[in-house]
Amino acid sequence: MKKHLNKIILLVLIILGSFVRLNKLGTGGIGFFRDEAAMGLNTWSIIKTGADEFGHSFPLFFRSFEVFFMPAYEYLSVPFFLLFGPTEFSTRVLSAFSGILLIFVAYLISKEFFKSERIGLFSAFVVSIAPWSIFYSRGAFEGNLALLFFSIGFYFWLKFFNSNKNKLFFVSLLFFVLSMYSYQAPRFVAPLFIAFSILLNKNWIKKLKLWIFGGIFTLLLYFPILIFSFTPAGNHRALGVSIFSSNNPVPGYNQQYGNWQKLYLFPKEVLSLYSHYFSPMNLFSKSDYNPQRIVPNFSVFYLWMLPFLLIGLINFLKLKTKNKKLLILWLLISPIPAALTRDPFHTYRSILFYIPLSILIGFGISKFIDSFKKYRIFVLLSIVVLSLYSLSSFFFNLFKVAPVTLWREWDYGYKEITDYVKTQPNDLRVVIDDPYTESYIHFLFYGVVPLKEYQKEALLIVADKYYKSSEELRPKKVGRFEFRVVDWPSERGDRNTLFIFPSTRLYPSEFSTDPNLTLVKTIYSPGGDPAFYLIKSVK
Amino acid sequence: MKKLIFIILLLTPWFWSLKFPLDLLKINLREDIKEARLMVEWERGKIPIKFSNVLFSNWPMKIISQRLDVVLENLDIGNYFFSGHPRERVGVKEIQKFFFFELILLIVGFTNSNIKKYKKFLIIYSVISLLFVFVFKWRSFYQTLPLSVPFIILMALGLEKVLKWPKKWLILFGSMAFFEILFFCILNLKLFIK
Repeated sequence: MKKHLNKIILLVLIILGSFVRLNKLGTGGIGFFRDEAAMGLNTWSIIKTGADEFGHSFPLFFRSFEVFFMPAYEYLSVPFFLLFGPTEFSTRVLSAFSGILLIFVAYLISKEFFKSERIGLFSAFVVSIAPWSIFYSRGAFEGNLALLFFSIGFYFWLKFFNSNKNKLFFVSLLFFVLSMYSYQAPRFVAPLFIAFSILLNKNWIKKLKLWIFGGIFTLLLYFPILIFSFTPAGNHRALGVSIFSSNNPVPGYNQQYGNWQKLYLFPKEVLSLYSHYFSPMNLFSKSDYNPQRIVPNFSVFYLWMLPFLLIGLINFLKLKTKNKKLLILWLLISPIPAALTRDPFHTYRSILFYIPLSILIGFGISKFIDSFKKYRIFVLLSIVVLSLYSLSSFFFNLFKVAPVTLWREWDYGYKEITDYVKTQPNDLRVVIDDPYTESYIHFLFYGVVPLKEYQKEALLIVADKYYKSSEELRPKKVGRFEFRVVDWPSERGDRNTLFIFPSTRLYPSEFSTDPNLTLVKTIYSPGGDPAFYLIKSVK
Repeated sequence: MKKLIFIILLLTPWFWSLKFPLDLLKINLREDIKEARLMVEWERGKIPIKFSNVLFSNWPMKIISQRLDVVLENLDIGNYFFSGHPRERVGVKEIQKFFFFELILLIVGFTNSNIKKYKKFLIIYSVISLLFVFVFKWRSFYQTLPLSVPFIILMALGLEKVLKWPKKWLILFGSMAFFEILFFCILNLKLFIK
């Protein structure tokens, strides 16, 4: 009966996790971010034309706005696009499924690690309701897919260390490599984790042959990506955001004393950034520095989870388990790539860090309940009530508060704009005022700008520089559509043109009194403020 | 002996002249309530009024969460060893409180078996001081000075253990500490002279 009960609880957790991840997935009301649109468009483009937005056939890195995305998310999204077409839901659903599967994988890891089904269930419970996991499962975040692959890899790695079956070693390597095909952070974390967990093994030399075969196997799998490692496609992202490539001086740097100071200041800066990933303030209160990656009033975990993390950590350190070092390694290595970048507390770059923390919280809850022998049910019930309240509050902030406060960060309004443009005659010139010229991706995604026409123009510009250059190489004009900064005083007289302005870039007084211009539509934000002005000139 | 040192420290007028933070026990609940109410009103003004608004967005909760935020700030080791960088706190002049090498002492301090002797004191003192932090919202350099006590005890425990390290490790650690202090002195020489 107990065995069945555990299975039922796990099933309930997975159903709960699925509900919170899939509910209103495509229509959350907050918007559809440009990176999501880029990934979705490229998947759709591969299906329709066998090439990406630049007309490049089956690329190994997907180039969008001078950023190179790892390819797994785009290719693995193909079945969802075939099923549901090019929609926001199809773009996000792979990440949502990764989040749902993570609940089960967290259960498996904990069960294998602590040899306890109960701790496994508590870990699964934490992952199913944790703000970080819900948030990253509800957007098209390739990092969430990478986390899933890395966690599966870790599970088989753990099983291999526990059972010594060589087959498991190779299965584990396969998943680690898959995580490296999905997101940038595992490209650094996975090799480091593998190397250290082998070297920390006292008898590692005895299995030298196996490690060599494993190395060859990994290199073969990773070879297609590896050959691009020294091109901008392979390293532009890492170099671009690295602390070492930043033009800003290191904090504390005094120009009077010369460069020798950096010997001390750089390591200190890296350690400072690294320590921020262990800060209770960041993990339980303040969260990410970028508003696009937060849900108002929430952090990575709920505040009530902090004592359980401490209990879990203290008991974990006391634990005498054979493979304790593996979880410690995961915990210590995973924030390193994020700490080597100049941004403070980047929850996305450190996404691999949150599974071991969730497992420790789950372990802490289990230990806490154990210490209340008589009142176990009461304590458990209190945690369930607290979780339900936190979850409801989280969704209140996600669905009600975030759309009115963070719509701009989530590129809200482009769907409404494209819906309007679709109703307009085919000879109408459309000029979109956009200093970053990145809004083209939404017009492509929603099928307003013809994909093949765009590919033709883009291919001419990018030519053979697809992987070789990180410069801005994309057309600013495709057919009747233009994406650029509008010089309003000189262009306002242009005939038969639809001008699209973000409300922050044009005052109503600049067009309302002109008889040759008509404000045909105002796109309002979820909070009721004007987001975009659509102004039409006379024919 | 320890008691005698403590008594002499107390009886030294030199230390009496040290600036005492006058706002240490200052609490302005009325102002806090006003601020929290404004925040909630802003939030509620943007969303339809329903039962959930009151349940999840209300001023008592805002006041508690603001105070808890300050407690968590005080638990952030970055604020002690890296002067709050890279996430500078709004309205707080960040000053590094300890040398970086002392962080190593702090970590090593936790592994010293003698910690048992101080365990009760460390826990009770820390809980009480965090309670004060919660009530009086201690954020600034002077306000958080009382929190240095558990840090110093743990560092002393760390130093006790470090002094028993093998010679080569001890020299490495000593050199690191020496150069950090030297570096600090060079950078702040002008400030000292002024």
